[in-house]
Order: sequence, then C-alpha cells, then structure tokens
Amino acid sequence: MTNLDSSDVSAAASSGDPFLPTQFLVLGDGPVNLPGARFHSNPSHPYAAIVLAGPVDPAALNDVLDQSRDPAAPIADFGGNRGVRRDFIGHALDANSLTAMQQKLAPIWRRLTELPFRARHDERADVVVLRLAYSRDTAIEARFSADTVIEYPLQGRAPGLRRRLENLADLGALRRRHFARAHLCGRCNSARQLAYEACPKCGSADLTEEPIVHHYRCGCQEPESRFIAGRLLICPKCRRELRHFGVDYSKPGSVVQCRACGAANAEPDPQFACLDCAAVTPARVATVTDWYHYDLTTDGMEALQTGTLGRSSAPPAFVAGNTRACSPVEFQLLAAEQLHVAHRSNRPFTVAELGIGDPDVLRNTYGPASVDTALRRMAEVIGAMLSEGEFLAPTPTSILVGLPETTASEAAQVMDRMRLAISNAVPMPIDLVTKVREGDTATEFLRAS
Amino acid sequence: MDTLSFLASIDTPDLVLLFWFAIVFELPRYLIGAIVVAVAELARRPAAGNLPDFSVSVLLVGHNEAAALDRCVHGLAAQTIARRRGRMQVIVVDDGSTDGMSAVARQLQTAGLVDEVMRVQPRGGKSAGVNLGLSRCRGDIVVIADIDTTFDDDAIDAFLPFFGNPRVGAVSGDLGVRNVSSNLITRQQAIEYLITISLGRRIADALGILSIVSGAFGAFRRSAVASVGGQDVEVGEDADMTMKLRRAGWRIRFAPEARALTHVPETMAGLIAQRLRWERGTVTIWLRKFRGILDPRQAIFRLSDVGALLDVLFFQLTLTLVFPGYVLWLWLRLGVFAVTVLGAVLLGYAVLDLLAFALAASLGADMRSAWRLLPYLPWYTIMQTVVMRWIRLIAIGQELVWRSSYRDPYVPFRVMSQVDQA
Repeated sequence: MTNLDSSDVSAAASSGDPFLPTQFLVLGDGPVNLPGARFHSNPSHPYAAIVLAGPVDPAALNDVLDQSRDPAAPIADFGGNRGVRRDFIGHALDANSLTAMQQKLAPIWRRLTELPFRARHDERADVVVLRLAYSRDTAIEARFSADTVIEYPLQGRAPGLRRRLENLADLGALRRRHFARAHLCGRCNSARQLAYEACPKCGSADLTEEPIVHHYRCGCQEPESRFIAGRLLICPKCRRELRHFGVDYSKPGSVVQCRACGAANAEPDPQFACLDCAAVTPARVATVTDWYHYDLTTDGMEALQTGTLGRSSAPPAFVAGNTRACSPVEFQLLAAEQLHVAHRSNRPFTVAELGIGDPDVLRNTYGPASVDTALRRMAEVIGAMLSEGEFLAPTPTSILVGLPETTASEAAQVMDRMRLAISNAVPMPIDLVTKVREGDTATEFLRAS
Repeated sequence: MDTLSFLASIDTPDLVLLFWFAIVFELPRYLIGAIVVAVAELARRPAAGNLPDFSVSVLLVGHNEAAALDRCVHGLAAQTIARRRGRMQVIVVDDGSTDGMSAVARQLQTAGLVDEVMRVQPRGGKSAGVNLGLSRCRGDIVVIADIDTTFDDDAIDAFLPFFGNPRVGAVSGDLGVRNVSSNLITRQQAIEYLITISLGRRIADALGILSIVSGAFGAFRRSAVASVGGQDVEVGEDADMTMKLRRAGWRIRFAPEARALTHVPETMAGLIAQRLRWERGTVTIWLRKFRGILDPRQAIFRLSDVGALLDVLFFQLTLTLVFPGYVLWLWLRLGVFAVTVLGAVLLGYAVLDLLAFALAASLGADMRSAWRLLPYLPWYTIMQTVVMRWIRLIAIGQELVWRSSYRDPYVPFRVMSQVDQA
C-alpha cells in the first residue's frame, strides 16, 4: 500500500490496530480537523484513503488516482458524489463516522498492504481493475443504473471500462458471468432504449392482438372476432357452433392487427426508441451487447503479483519501434528455438538479464512512472547495442537479452558495457543487477523469469 | 417372327376383339383430344391489348418450406405485375413450421417483398392455412401457389385477361417440372406434366370440362372463392374447391401462358406416396362428394359438370378398374400369348404417347426443351402402363375399402378425424 508511509503505519500501530491508518487526502470541501486523524489536501503527500468531503468532479478524482502511488486506494464519500467508486458512504464527517470508516476500510488496507501495487506503465489501468477486485475481496459486479443503464460500482465510471474488462477476460485474468443483454441505438450507441412493438409494415405501435380460431370440420381459420356471436363461437363459414376446444376447434396462434394501416401479421416488430437521441432502431438491426459480472482468476492474481499481464503476446508499448524487442512470451519461444539450434550445432547461446535492483525504492523516490521510464531507456540503449540475431524483452523490472553465438564470459563483458551505457543514459541512479546463463542453465533461468 | 405373322394374319374384327381395351377406351381419348386442340387453336383469338386492371393477392401457404421460400418470393418480385406499384399483395402463411420458415418470411417482409406474414402452431393443414390467408387477401384476384413453385416473369399477368369475363371464377396455370434433369423419374414426370397438364388441361378447357385448378399454381376471383366459403378440409383440396366453384356456376379456364415450374419427387418412393394421395383424393372428391352432379333431378344440373365428372370417372377410375379385367381376359383366352398381345398394346400406347407428346411440345412455349425429353418417351409409356396404372388401382382400392385418405398425414389427424365423422 504505497500511499502509506512509515509514520502513518507507526501511528496506526500505536492505536493498537496495524490496519487503521490515520492519514487521509481530502477532496471537495476542506480542510477537516478531527482528533486522531490527519487530513490534508496534497495528493503528493502520503494518504491511506481519499475522503470526499463535498462534491468532487469525477475527472479531478481520476487525475488524483492516476498520480497516486496506489490507484486502488479506498475512497470514502461524505459529499453525496455519484459516478465515482466509493468504499464508504457517510453523511457527516465526524469522529463516529471516521471510526466507522476506518473499520469498514480496514480489510481493504490489509489486503492492499499484503500485496503492494506494481504495474508496468502501459498496463497500470488494467492492473488497477484487478487490484480493486482483489483488495475488496469481491467480484466486479454489474448492476442497472438510472444514468448509464449498466455500471460497475466497484470501478466507478472510468472511460472505456467495459472494453478494458473484456480485454482482461480475454487474457484470462477475469472470468465472465452473464448479467444482461443490452440493445444499442443505431445512431448514437446509447443503451438507454425504450422497447416497443410496432407494425412491420408501417411502424405504428397502435396494435391489437387477437387469437386465430381454427374450425377443424370445415377448415375455416380466421380471427376469433369473426366467430364470436354473443357468448357462443359460431363458424362464419358453416354456421356450426364450436363447443369443444381441442376437438371442434383450436386456437393455433394470434394475429396482430395494426389500427393505423390495417395490416395483419403473426408477430409485431420489436423496435427501440433511443432516450438520448430519439432515433428509432428496429431490433433486427440493433447492436446487441452482452454485459457480464467478472471474477478474478488465478491468472489475474498472478498478474497482480507480477505487475504485468504476462499472457499478452504483444510487446509492451514502450518498446514499440524497437526492432530487437519482443514480448516475454515471444522471448521464451525465440530463446527455446535458439537453444535447440545451439544444441544441434554445438554452438553457444546465452541469456542475460539486466534488472533494476530495488524497483520499490525507485518508485518511492522518483514516482510511480520512474521504473517504466528507466526500463524504456534501458531497452533503447540495449537495443542499439545488439547485433544481428540478438533480441530483448522487457519484464516488469528488467530487460532480458538473448545472445546467440555468445558464451557466458563474452556475455558478461557485453553486460558490463551495457551497464555503463545505461548509467550514462538513464537520468536517475539505478542499482543494476546482472544475471548471465549459458546453454542448459538458460532453460531453467527462462522458466524462472 | 411368329408373333408378327400371327398379328398380320388376323382380320379386322379379330383385331378389334383382341385390342378392344385400347380401341374402345384409349384411342378415342387421344383422337378427341387431338381434334379438340386443333379446333381450339384454329379458333383462338389474339389476347386483348390492354390487361384488365385487377389487383392481385398472392397467397403462399407452406409447412417447413424455409429453404424454398426465398426463391419463390424473389420470383414473385420479378413478376411484371410487381412493376405496377401497389397491384400485388404477397401473403405468407406458415402452417406450423419447425424449420424457421416464419423467420425467413419476416426477413423477406423486412426487405419489402412480402406484405403480411401469418403463423399458426401446430399445423392445421393446407386448406385451413389457405382460408386464413384468404381472410387477409385484398386483391380482386387471388393467386394460390405452392412455395416450391417458381414462375415465368409474366405468369401472373397471363391470368388476368381471363378474368375480364365476369363469369370466370378460376384459371388454372400451366405447370412444368423444374428439377427435370435430376434423373429418369423426374424426366418421366416432366413428360407426364407436358401431356396431362399442358395438353390435357388445354383439351379440357376447350371442352369446358376443366375440373381442377392446381393448388401449385392457380388464380381465383376473390369474390368467387368467398361465395363458396374458401377451401374445405380435403386431401385434394384444390380439386374440391374447383368443383365447388363449378357447382356455384363459375367458369373454370386454363391459361397456357401462365407458366410455372414445380419440384417433383425424385425417388420412386416419393412419387408413389404422392400419387397414392392424389388418387385417393380423386375417389373422395368425385365419387363421394360430387357424384350428385350426375343426378338430373338436382336443382343445378349442367351437362358441362357431368362432362367434367365423367372425364375423371372414366379416364381415371373406370380405365384403371377395367384394365386388370382386360389383362385377365387376355390370359384366359390366349394363355402365355397374352404377354405378346400386351407387348403390342404397349407399343400402341407408345405410338399414341408420341403423338400426344408431339402435339404438346409443338404447342408449348419452350419447344426445344420439350423435344429434349423425346428419348425418354418409351420409359414414360412403360411407367404409365406398368407402374402408374397399378398405383392408381391400389389407391382406389385403399380408398374404397379403408377410406385411407382420412388418415393421410397431409391433413393433421385431429382435423381429419372431425371431417371423417361428419
């Protein structure tokens, strides 16, 4: 839980419960003074939770969370805010509600502390989605909403949230459970639709429905009104009375008659009128969207622990354009192939890793984006130094390098040159750790990586 | 050689005595037909320049016809009458289908090719479906067609001049075989349709005794259909309604230019099942329901109706029933030599069929396609004489003894059982 600093934890420890922190970031109306807690309004200072003391612009809150050391920090709302994720809702910020808030948030703090936040810069938003589910120990539940039709309260109203959830489900980090199917407006894609039945011919909703009666004996089959004579059913064709349903006659369907144009059909046309743009979309052409609840999977937990969605086969965005770079998955495949070739031709192949010794220190000192910045520069430098056939892949805290036709000792010399070049290129001091494995030992090393 | 020399040695009275069945029953049929068609063609007047401005409702009733519906409806969209805006209404009745037929119909409705779609579940039978559709028809003329039928582009317009005569209640279209080249069975049926429908109905029309407007493709004056209460529950509901119209005083005509193609059975089992149903329907309708036509004491007694009834009773029932007697008579009289005589009879039929075929082909619009069937004519003669005649005999026997048509799955049992009790 990187929003907490040591003083806050020690203060909590002195209160007897290690998971009742006392530093809070206040947004909305401020300042707030309550005994036993420290409230501040500086997002760059440590805090255990965000307290919304009054109405807050959701965009402003998102900006704060983007800069936060742990974007999954709990949020307590005392300002009646809507459209933001809220872990605690109170009416008045006083000593009692503060205690209640602390007790409600304690399990969240506990889980956040147990699994510190780590994420590659370009996967930060995805990991936060998973982290919210993990830290609240709950599924990502969808629910109907008056404003947006369907929303995920746990996640708030983040732009592109559904697409992000679906991507995570595709990657296996989340498991879907169906919640609802929504039809979208053909013009504005809104899901706020009024469904109604319309005449297939003229589109009018002024419809009446009437059963069809089939008189078996003479084959007459017409709407029921043609048979009704007072309290009896009399066949309009043969004038016989229909007395026994299932023997004399049946009602094998119904006819929907349009009072506007007179057309009759077996079924009306479902249509949707958009409550946002007033466009009418026939159901047959309306885009259908399925909405799901999502459960965190073991792959999702793994992603939280490693800070990256390792199943992605695409190289990270920050090495895009680097022709020597590939994703970790591709690196494994390439390395395995090179090892196979090395075995067959009795030639050397070495895998080396240049890692950041203490990424958490780097984050705490230079900000949450510092690790990604360092990795990007490292990948650029290493990529420029590699020869034909050599390749690299970034992990959350290191760069892997594949060196065909290179022995371990030669690789160690190459690594030394790279460390020097990186030290000159990266604008912050980094404790670089080097590992070199040749031949069969590289296989075990790759598996561990 | 012995056979030929024997046949050459017998004199004319003995020849007549030996081949009496063919000479008494079959030869006049062909001769009358040829003469009537020749006279009718000579007396034929060119069609009027302007088509009567009738509106038309096309009624398509089907059970599990999802696969065929699209082609049929697109064929209707290509009709010349469809170019005259608002003059054609298309109604589809899904009679208890389980193959998604109504969904296909709805798609066609969305595309603007179908006006109304009705659906009942479970199946009520063809006549009930037609009656439901008739209640929604708004055109002056109602065209009833099978969904596996496709049409010449001017087929529906070809009906309309006949309705210029206010006494005409129904007009039969000409039917051909679409899957003609599938196998020998379909080619045989193509020749059969050419001779019995294209030529046979032309003859019946010229004589004023046409007794069936096929449910596969026919046109009806809506007021005429309403006057007889639509269709009744029958296995041969099309023939039944035609006879009801005749009895109500409406004239029935044949439009050879109103041409449509239908899909015929491709297996012998399918063909036999179809013909057994048709022939049983013949017994039910003409022998049971309309035999009163022959009673001169009835309020409505018309010679044309008598002619129509006798045409069916004689050529379809009597000939069929007498033929086994003729074979038996030959066997008793000649012993094994009867086989030789029957062979000669078969040869005689082949010659007569050739003449009928030539006449039908020469009158048809697509003469070249018709003549391509000529090599299969002997097969047609054999099928008609050796197979179809006996199928007809079995069907008549089944219907007279067991009333089999009342258990035919063509009409649901719960419906037909009510009719059988009536």
